[in-house]
Amino acid sequence: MNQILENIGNFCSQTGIAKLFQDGGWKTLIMYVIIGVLFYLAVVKKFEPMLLIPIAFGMLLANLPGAGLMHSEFFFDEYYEAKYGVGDDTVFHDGHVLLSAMIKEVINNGGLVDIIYLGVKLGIYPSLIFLGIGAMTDFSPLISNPKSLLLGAAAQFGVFAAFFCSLILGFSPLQAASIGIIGGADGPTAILVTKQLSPELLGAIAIAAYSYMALIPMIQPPCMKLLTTKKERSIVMSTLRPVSKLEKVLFPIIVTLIVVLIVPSAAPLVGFLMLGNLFNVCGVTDRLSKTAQNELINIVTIFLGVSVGATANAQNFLAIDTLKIIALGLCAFILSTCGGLLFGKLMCALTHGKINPLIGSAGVSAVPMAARVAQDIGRKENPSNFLLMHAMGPNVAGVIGSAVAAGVFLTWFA
Amino acid sequence: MKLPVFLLLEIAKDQRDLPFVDAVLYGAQMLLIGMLIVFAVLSLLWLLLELLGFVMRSAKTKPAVAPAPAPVFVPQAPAKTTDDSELIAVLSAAIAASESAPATRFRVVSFKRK
Repeated sequence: MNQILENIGNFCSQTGIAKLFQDGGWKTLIMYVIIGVLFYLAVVKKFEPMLLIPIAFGMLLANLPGAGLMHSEFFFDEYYEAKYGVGDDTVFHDGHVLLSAMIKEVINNGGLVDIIYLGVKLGIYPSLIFLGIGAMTDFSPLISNPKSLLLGAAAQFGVFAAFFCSLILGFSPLQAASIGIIGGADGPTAILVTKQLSPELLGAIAIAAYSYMALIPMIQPPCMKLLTTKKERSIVMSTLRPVSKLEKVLFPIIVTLIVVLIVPSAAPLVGFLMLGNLFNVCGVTDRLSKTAQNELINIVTIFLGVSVGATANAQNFLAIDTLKIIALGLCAFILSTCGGLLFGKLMCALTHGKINPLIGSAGVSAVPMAARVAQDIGRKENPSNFLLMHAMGPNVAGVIGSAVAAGVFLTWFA
Repeated sequence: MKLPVFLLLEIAKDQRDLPFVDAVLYGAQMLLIGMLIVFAVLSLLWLLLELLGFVMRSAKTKPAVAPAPAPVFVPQAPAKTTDDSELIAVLSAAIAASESAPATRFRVVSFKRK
């Protein structure tokens, strides 16, 4: 009888429920509340549901004690220092663990999500997502009005300003760069930079980036109304010229050449973004284009969301740094919007009122949400005004701008 | 671990809690340099796209000028000089057959091509 009771007791002590109430188990319970909030935002409020649902579920999987699907520690030097000692040249190089040793550990002892996370660690998923985004994006408004590129550049102000603020709040330059890139309003770019510079912040940064992208219709309008006059918001812009097929085909090739030759670190993002766009515009690769913008991007989004969410375990997510990141992410978005708007005002003044400054706010690269916000605010002032296509120019320029900003950070710090 | 030499202030990139003055100076110089690089790259793209647009527009206007003299020797010119007598004969025969009247009682004076 005692033997039976002992077996039952052993079994109970091995369950996830028992582990929940061991040391630090309360943190896991708090994580469940946060996960619940994310599910609510995704399902009920429809905040970027395609991303927030995989991310929230990945968080849930990572916070089920005993499931062993994700071992975040496999991706940090400390685990290997404790296991092998720093002096082991087969595992360490220049003070950091070798990628080959990390992959070996994941293959031998990792769980399912560890293996899927290798796609993030190796930088595969962000580039494939960019391939799909490139195939989906129409760059014609930008080709038609290339001045929009300057608005896309100005809207990267939030990236570097948030970097500045993060340093003041005590983050290291590596961490500050990862936090700053949230201001680029581009999830894959933020993930690519963070996984390379400060993987310990990946969960918090990805959640902040995607949440704020969904909140753009709430974040941007107050800034737009504050920084522009009623007269400026009412400006009607002249019709964009039509763009020939040759221009559309040459565009991705020119952008890739120029950007990658100047900022080689931006190649994984800009190169794949432009390859996807070339698939779409060249007219002879319809099947590849459809795959990139449908099946491929959907599959990769599932893998990316689940594995990035799984990095947010109670131990590293429930920290003061996470709250700081969420606050700094908001600052980054606001400052990026303001940068674009102010440059829009400058261009408006220089062109004697031919440019509506509202399109500057679309320079943050959340496509097409930011352009739609510019359209809505413009229409409120002048119902006959149609700014959407004009705002799409800075909007897609913002995608290129944030990839360049990411390349700058990677060149400096990677 | 060192950053590029052109920087005014160098800081270990994984150092947290920098002294306030260092954080401000370092952050400000990075902000300035970063924005300059982004503007430089996108401005270069802007100029190239303007150039591309200019080339495309001028390439388009050239063929637009060229077709103008073309009508001088295109299809309409030979059409005017064609001898329509054969066609008139065919039409007359068709009308005669349809009206059951000899072709001498009417004359085809005009017809329209559709």
